[in-house]
Amino acid sequence: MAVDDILQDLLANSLPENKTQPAMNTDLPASGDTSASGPDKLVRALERQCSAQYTDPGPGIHFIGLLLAVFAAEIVSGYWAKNAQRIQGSENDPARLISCLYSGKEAAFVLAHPTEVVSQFKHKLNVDADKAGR
Amino acid sequence: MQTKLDDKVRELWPRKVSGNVSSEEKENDGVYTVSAVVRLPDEGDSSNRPLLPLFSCPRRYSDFLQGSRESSGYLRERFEETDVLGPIAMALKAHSVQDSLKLILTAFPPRDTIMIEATPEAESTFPFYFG
Repeated sequence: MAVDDILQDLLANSLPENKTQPAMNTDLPASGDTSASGPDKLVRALERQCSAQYTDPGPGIHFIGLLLAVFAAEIVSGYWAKNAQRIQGSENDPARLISCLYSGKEAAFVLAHPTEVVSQFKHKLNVDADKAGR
Repeated sequence: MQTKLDDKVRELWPRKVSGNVSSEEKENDGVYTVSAVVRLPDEGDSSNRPLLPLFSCPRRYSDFLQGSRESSGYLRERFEETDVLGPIAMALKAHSVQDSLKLILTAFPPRDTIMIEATPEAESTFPFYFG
């Protein structure tokens, strides 16, 4: 139930100030805004909140970074658990790899498709193979 | 994925071409990354799922497509599920994002997280391989 509360909180934060919260809080805002998907908006809202609270974690920086990544993944997982029908109705698979970028001053999140990692990796291998063949 | 990471780093850390830390900088001046996998509802009901999503080891950020020849950047600091489970369970029981983040950002890191021996995942370039 608490994940619902967190989702509701994040989605409320993701709405522009002049818009009211939708009745079904875990759905996408009914604004017709297609510039970002629901999970992307969630992640951006989480990033904004995180930026507001983040301070240099000191020697525990990598542990905090990992906790942030896992927490973000669980929040997006919670979103999909509430909106499973959106996956079935979508042509594309949802982005499934969430990365937390962090330093002593900032923390940020990137939500993407892991298959892109593989494709970038293959591209890199091809480039290296071409270079080696010359 | 990597492009998005690169874009985000340029946006937030414009002076960081790579996450390398120069001798004049402290460790926390570098940029690091760690990943976790989003779980979908069709992956079985919640009673059968692991308690935590799959996650990677932390590593230094590097602009992969810039042709960096350095090592994978994985750190010697490693964490296990048991380290992560408690703080995440508490964060997910909070009733607001602010409270969740407060719990996470004040979590105390576990002891003995430094790996002495290299592990296979430390030698790979990417943390996850999806078919």
